[in-house]
Amino acid sequence: MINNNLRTAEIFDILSKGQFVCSNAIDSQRRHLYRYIEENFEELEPKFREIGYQLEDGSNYYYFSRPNESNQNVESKIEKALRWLDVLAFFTTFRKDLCRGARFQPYDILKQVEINLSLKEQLADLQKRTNPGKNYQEMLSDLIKEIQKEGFIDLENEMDQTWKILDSWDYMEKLVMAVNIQDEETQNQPEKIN
Amino acid sequence: MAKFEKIENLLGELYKHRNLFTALFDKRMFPIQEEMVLPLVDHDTEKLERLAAFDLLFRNQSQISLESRLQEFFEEFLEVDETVHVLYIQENLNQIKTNQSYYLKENQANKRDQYLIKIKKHLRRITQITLQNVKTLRNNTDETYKTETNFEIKKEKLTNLRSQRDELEGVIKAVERLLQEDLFFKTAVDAELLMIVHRLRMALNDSIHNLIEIQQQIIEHLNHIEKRVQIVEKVFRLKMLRDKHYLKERTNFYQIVLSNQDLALKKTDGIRTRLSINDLLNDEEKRNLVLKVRSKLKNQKLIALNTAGDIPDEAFQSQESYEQIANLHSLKRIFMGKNQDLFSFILHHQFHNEVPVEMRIKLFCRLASLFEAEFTFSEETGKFENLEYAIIYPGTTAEQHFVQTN
Repeated sequence: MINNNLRTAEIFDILSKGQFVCSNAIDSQRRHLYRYIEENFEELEPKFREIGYQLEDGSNYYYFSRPNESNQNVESKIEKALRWLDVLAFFTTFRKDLCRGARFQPYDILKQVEINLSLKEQLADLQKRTNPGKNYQEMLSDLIKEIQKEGFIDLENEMDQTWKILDSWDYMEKLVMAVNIQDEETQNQPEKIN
Repeated sequence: MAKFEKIENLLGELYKHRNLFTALFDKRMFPIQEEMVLPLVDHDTEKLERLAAFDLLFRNQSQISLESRLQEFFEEFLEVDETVHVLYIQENLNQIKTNQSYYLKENQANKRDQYLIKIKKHLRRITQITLQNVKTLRNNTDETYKTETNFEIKKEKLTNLRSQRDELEGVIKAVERLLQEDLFFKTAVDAELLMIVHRLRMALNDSIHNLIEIQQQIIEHLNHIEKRVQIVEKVFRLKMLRDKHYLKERTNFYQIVLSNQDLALKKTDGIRTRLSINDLLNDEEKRNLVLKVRSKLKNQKLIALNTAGDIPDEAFQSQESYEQIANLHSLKRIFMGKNQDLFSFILHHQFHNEVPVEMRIKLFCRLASLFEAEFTFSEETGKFENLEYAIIYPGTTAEQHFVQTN
């Protein structure tokens, strides 16, 4: 029982920071947490709902939403979402089949950056605000760290710098897929996020 | 072109240079430089030339490889073939049909037997090739899906695999039909032939089941790719709209983001909590933490300046002093009950402590002014030492006083 309460607290700690708990996390502790939520979803969900947090079940990842929060920082939300779109576009330009479970090495991206002008420009755009005057390698490594912090990727092998895309990547994709574009694909209404 | 006269010569040649052939076969995926294999032939380039002349090796400039027939032979026998050969089955099927027709038309028993042997051989071949092909197809499917990183090529490869699979299924069905419908196989009396046909049927059955599974897998993979394609296209289209500043105008991106209530998208402020003071005071661990934090603080000098000096000894000596204050109200109450004038009452009243005369005179004045309304001031005055005082009685009126005294 005490153990379970500790788990609940740990889950709350992670999720309340806007992080995800993914089934394919690198950290085995996180994977255990995922399984724990999966097995105890029915119990945990009302517990968190009571204190204003909605436990959301993505596919193979969990996260929080706060349905009844009134004062939201609208600007920062838009900014973040736009940035995700830029990040997705950047990685998709690098490799089209990059999705959850995929692995990549920064070295490969850098090689592409050298020969792909669009990729190069996107990287520079992504990092121009925070890192003026840095080289592409530094910009890329900062970008990677940023999305690691947000919980979308994690370092799988430090020796050869292999990064793994976590299940939460799907969240960004779903957000993008939920957007409707006028005059186009009116027949193809993508389903709502969640 | 040189030719081997006898099969022994061919086998002998292969055996003699088995290390070389093994090495070449192992590295068949890569171009091999001639000098790399020279140690295997005692640095004798003439040997290489000889093998090339017999068509066992293929030399091109300074690169060397196995002759393709030899390579296929090895691959097939070791079952490491990476290509699916649908046509092989078809060819064997044709051969069976041809030989069957000969067999039926031939009257001489020994010649018929020869045709039958050929038919059996081709049937066995089909069993082998089919199983091998299915296995290869399955491996190729998995491998393509897992390892091919180029999106377009992956899609194309899978589509190719799908048509290969369809062809393979077609040929297998054709063989099955032949076995099932042709009277020749149904009514055969040769026990060995029946056995072979039975084995083939089992193999075909197995293969068909496997093919169905492979088909599902390929469809799944292709669907997945299709979904990826949609996502990729959407990302690029939105990115393009964003770069051209159309995102707000032509999409509902902003609305969707605004209605999104997920914590991932919001700026979350950490939850602030306070330390429990009780814990800080009582918990040994927490007390140590406080000391630890304190020792880590950089501005040690400032802290030193901020500390108070020792508490002086005087602080521990009591500074208390007493002042005697008479309770004027209770004095008045006692006076009211007495039949006496105020001055004499104050002068002779027994206080708890000794009260000097001057103090008593002060008390008289205070009481007289404080309760003026309740006392009766008579016209008379008394004298005490060199002081003259008014004679004051309790009660509001003189009459009252007289009533009381009388």
